[in-house]
Amino acid sequence: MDRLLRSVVVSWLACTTLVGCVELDGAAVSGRELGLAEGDAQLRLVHASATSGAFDIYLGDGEAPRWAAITFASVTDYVAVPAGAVQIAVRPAGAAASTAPLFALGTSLAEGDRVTLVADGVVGSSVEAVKFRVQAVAEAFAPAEPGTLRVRFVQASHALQNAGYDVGADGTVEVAGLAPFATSEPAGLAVPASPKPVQLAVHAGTPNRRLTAFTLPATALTEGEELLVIPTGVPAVVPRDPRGLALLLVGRGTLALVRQNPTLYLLPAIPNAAGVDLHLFGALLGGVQVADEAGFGSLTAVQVPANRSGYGLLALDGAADADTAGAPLAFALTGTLEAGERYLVVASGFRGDCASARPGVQVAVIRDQFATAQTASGRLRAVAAAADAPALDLGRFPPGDNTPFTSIAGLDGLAYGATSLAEGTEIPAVPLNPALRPTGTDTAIRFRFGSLASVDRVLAVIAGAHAPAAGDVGPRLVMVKAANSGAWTAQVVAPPQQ
Amino acid sequence: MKHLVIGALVVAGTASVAHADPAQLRGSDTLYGAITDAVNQSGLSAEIQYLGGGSGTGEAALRAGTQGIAPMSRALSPAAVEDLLNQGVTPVAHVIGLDGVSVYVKASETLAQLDIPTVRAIFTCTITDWSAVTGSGKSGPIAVFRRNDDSGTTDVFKSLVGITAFGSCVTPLATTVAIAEETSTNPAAIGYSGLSAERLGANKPLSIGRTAAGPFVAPSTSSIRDFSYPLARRLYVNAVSDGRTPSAAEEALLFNLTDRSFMDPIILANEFVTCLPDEDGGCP
Repeated sequence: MDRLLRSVVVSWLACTTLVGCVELDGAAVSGRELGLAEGDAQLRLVHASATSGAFDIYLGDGEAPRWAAITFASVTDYVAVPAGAVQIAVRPAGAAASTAPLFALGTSLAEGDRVTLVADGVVGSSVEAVKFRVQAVAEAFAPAEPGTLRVRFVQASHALQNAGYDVGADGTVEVAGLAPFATSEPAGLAVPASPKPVQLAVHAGTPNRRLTAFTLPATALTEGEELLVIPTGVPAVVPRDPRGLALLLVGRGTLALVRQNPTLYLLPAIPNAAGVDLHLFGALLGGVQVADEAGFGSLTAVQVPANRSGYGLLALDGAADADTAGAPLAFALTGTLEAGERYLVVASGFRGDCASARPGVQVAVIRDQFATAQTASGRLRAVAAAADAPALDLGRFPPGDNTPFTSIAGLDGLAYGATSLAEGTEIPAVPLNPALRPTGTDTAIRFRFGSLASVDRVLAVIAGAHAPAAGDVGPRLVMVKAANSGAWTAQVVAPPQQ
Repeated sequence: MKHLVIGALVVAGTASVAHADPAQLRGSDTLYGAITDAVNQSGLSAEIQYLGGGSGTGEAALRAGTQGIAPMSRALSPAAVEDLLNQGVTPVAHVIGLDGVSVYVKASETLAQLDIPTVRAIFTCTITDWSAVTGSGKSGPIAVFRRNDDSGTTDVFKSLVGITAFGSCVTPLATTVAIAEETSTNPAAIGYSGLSAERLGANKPLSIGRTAAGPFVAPSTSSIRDFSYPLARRLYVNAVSDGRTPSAAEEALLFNLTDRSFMDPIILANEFVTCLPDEDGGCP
């Protein structure tokens, strides 16, 4: 109700201004159509350039912008313009009308035309395939059958090659082979209206393969809606980044920016479990086994619909026979999983070890919050997941012979369950030579690991048994590289002598 | 032999897309000899001509989309990474070898070592007379030489020494050869370059300490491999992926550049340092 009320207020405010721009706010506001006079056409603009700032839009030879300070992921109201030739010029917000436009477009409108201008590409780029542009998308949806809506895809992501769209994520790609800046059929795809969110899987590349998935909100899937689904941003940056690949939904009653479904990276780090079965439960997902006998330090990725209630995670001992499931090791709730986010889920502690009173299995959910701005140094975040270890300092041995253990600021005194600075600690681009030392002592365990490149974001999971019993995995660092795009990877690093 | 067969197949695959004139590839001057050797030994000289020009030119070509790979003597700058990401391109850094930025004087000079604060003072012109340099055993104006701004060696040198801008007493020269010739003949001169340039004349590489207290470390294979030499650096081929891919000929060259059995002999022949064997840690 609060959202609806806020949306109404925002719409009202927008309608009372000259500019008439409707800012993004959830999924319940829209561009406003005008009652057309004879001889007029309608025009509106969507800012779908995720890498760009705000724009002023000029129509004809006007000296003032028709729409001012249009920000990413917003859409203007429709305006009526006389049918015929119309000139559109885009300038950075606040730039003088006398300055050269970022882009100028001439188009011809017939009486009754309804056109959405889509601003996309990269401002300032001279690369033909990605440079900034404004596309004129004539709206010519076929009438929606009862119980359906019409959906048209407008490729504003310059980085999605050979894109395909699978409505329902059921394995059937309804729209295939879209190049950057291409659009699907003007009539639109007939999609059943839905009172519940619907999954949309995006495929890309050659050969075409599933890249990611989104959850389309039910508010966008109403009967009769004419929906432009505009992929924007790029998959090369992290999904939560404002430049990350996202879907901009623009309809007659819809405006929403939908980020990619969250991804969980499940990491068993139980020193005395040879293999772990992992199951997820929850709304929009049901129950699904996501890992089978996953070994210590092996990483399993699973993308799930965003869910404020999160999911249940059940870890079972993988050492089961053909007839019985393994013994439960832990059940935990993930907590809220937000669209656009990635999470490392670490199962640590000891399996069924009551006799020695060692800590049982615990599950920790750690959200990727690494700084995304590029500098000359990579970043490292420590995760203390060695249940039997005292508080530890994660440090390093500087290059050279007989160099001393050297602390890394912010990575000292890490008790079980602790994590270091969420944005990560900058690490110079020389061999890391990481080492662990119980806080307050001089005895360090040295590991061999190379350098972090400037683009690297690494979660250093302190794992293993630090007072190992027979058969336990001893002290380990599991270096989880949180790649911008594609799957994360994990490398289990042992002390050289083991 | 296996490598040659694979290389021949890759080259054969590029034949249909080869241009009448070879594509011009820009990048590190430091790597000019090594990359040229790699192009020739890959049988790609009809498809690719390596021009060098400095790491900055290779980086610019990646950003402009005119190259899919760029040999560079430094990592991509943060601005270049951001630019490529905005284009939807994932940059991939391949380390093909190691090098040290060598600070050197004429071989007959008594000076044997410098700490980084002193190097910085010399190249920012805070110190302009040899009398202020401990161990030089002489006085008189220092003649300081550097590479031009397209040089990846210069970028690395500035970064590792902590120089934002060179002083006005520093003379830029167009090539590493020119610097080496100057320092080998001028007793007042000091310059820097990649290790391979030292032998172009009678130059003496100096041991370098991070502080005046040392330790002072000479550039050597082991001190560069473990980065105890303060001016050790990686040699890269930076490539694009995801949103854009290298051309077929570039892919063929990249395949060989990242194959250590092919590239390590070339790295050694060009007086760089190879990475450790993969089982001992590989490229740091």
